[in-house]
Amino acid sequence: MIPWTRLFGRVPSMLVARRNVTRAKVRSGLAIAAIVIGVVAIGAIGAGGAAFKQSQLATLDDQGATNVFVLPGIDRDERTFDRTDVQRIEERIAPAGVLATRSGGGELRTREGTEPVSLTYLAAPRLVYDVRAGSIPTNWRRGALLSAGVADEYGLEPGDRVHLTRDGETSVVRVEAVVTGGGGVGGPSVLLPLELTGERRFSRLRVTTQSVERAESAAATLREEFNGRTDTLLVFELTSLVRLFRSIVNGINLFLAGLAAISLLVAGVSIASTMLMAIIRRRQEIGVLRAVGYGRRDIVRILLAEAALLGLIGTAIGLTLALLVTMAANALFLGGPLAFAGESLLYLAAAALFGIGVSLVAGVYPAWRAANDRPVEALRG
Amino acid sequence: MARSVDRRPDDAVIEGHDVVKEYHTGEQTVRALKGIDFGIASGESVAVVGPSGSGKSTLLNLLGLLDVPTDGSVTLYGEETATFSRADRTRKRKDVIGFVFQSYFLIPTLTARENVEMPRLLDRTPERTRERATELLERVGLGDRLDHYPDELSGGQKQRVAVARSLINDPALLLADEPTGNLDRDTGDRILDLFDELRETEDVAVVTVTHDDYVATAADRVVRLIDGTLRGGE
Repeated sequence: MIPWTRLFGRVPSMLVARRNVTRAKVRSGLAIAAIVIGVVAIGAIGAGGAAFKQSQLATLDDQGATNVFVLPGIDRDERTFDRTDVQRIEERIAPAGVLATRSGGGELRTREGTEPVSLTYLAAPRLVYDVRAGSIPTNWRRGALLSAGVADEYGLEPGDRVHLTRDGETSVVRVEAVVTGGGGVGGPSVLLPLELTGERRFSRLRVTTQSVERAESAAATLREEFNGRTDTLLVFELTSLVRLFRSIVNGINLFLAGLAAISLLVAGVSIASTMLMAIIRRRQEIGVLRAVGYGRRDIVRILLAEAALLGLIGTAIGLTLALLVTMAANALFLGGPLAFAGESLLYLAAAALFGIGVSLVAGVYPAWRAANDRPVEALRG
Repeated sequence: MARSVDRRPDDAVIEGHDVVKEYHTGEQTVRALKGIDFGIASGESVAVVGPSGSGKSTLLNLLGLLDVPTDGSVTLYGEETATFSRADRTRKRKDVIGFVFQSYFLIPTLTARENVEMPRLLDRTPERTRERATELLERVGLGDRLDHYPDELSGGQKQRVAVARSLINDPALLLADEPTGNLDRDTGDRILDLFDELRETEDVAVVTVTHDDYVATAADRVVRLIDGTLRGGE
């Protein structure tokens, strides 16, 4: 308590302000509550939204935002790519890898019966998948790779043999490996070597890269190189989707924070009215201050200190609550209460600044009015 | 009958010459002071007596540099107050003038000592101010009430705090507006005695404005203000 008192002793206008704030407890309390609501609204909505966005973006990255998908463009005569096309594309975008794929449906026969699975034919699985168990043969021409989902669901391991029905024909295939990753393109699926399709043409290519940025630049390169006057390639990347998502969430977040900001403006109005009440009730007192030699600027300073103190208390309480809400959001979306997204901190800081700023601005008019009240009139009451 | 009532002393703190003050209320112009002369010497005690509406408060406001005359001149230590800016007047008020009001006007959220310190609270001399405030409160007999809040003090005690407050800046002129108006006679007497003591020890001129003739008897000099003009005192 002593340092607190000493601090207020150093700043005399704060001493007067503090005493005055405690004077009309209910009115001060309501003004503070208004600020608390505003700060919590901005802080919690902004920071919680930021945490949500961050978690969704991370999911999208997992879902293959590092991939670019290439299909034959509308100006291309053939609806498929051949090996030469693949090579040409590969040359342009090295070191990103190109994967020729074809997908289809099939059935997996197990003890419980036959289950539909998605089949993905691909050339170079190592580019995209991580091996969890078993190994991918160097020259992969036979045997299946199972995505972890399928393997877990049917209790299959490398070395097992499964009955697989494709295009109406059933064959026994050996499970070579269980793989994970793959940018989520397949989902739970069975991977088979491209050779098994018996074709040399591919309906769809996939370019895999290490990061969202690289995927973006690979897509840009492809569009530039192949789609001059004619669209020979149809290129799309999830990054554009990510960008869209990001701008939508940002927009919603800003809109909500804006709504919250309105609640802070209302808080400002409440502070202004509290201060106006205060100067009317204390008119004579302010007159005395003026009489004993307080300049107009001193009066402004004292009353602004009072408004700022209301704002400061409200902001401190509000920020604490907003921080708790944000930590809850962090725990929910980002895996830990302290995993603050950078943007969350920005929103919290903005809420604090806005809380104090609004109070100060709200204090200006009452302070100005009180300072310009002629002491003669004020003393008369 | 109208003769000059002032002494126009050489050591005048504040002087007025042919002072006129008019107020405009709507269409009407009220002439509160109709050309009066006055002078307050340092260390003297003057009572301004008059019925309500006679212009007492107007005179007090002019003496206190809270207002400027419509016509004529008011000089503070020979300086024309009309030439002062608002900030100048505020500073001069602080340096030269102390105020005591009928309803004390203490700040309820501040203790007795803080109320006394109040005029100097924004100066960066907290220790000196505190010492002086304590000394003044002891001087007015409230050494044991330093940390009491106004609502814990009696009317007389409040007024003594107000007197101590008016002296914190060592003024040359103390303006008291009905200082005993809210007090019973005994308590009022003690305040008036206090003024007398302070006048000697603190070398301060005391101008008391009152409608109460009894209060006036305590002063060295009495001037009567009737309908905006001064009449000779006794």
